[in-house]
Amino acid sequence: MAENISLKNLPKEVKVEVLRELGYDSDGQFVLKDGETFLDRYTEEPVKINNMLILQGSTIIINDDPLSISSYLEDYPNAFK
Amino acid sequence: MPSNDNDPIESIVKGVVKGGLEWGKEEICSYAKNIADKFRNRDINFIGESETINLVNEQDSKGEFSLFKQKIKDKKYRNLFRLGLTLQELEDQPEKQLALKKSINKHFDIEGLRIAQLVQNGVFSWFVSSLLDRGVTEKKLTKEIEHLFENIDQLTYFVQHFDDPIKISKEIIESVNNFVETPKKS
Repeated sequence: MAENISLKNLPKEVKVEVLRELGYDSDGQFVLKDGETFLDRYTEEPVKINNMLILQGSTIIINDDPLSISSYLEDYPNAFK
Repeated sequence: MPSNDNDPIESIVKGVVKGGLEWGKEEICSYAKNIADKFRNRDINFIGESETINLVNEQDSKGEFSLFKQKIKDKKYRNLFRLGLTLQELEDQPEKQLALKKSINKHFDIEGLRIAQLVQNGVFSWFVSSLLDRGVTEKKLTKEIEHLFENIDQLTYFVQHFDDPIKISKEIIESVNNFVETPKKS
């Protein structure tokens, strides 16, 4: 099982570079993909860099909110076990 | 900053937090590549506040969810059930509870919110218990639960504390009579 690392404690610059390493980007507020605002796949809301989760499953980036997490658990039920 | 593979990953993150503001671009990129590689190798997840993940994830370990999960294969209903238990858990955090209700309503419409609220306020448990008391088969139990969720707006009535009791009573009686006279949706 993957270890959980808190993004909240990382400086924004590091978060942006991590996103770039994974094929994404940021305008400082939102996550971007191919120049466009990247949407949470479950809620279709723009993902904010200060509220994002980056999870396993072909790199899934979602907002850190209960609905997104619950929906993610439906696709990956053992993700946090 | 070179990463030492013998260091626990968390201690590396703490070091970043402490020294991050002093890093140049090169150090930042090097560190980001390091932890991105660990992510790609499935060694780490990047999470926000673990509190939210714990809150939602904990619902799966509840007996009610374990029982329900076996009966309903529909992902949406399972998701709403988990969200209903999460709403229950947020009783002492009204702002977060309200935000989640709004989110459920937005993404699953009012019917979805009603399903989650049914779970939240314990009515779903009562419903299942009453079915079990009648000795229904497992297959029948599953069908009844699915029927409830698919017809939530016809089979339930949500009363608020400021509703007029006489008016509501009349509406409920009328609703029940209409339902009894209408053939069941298959």
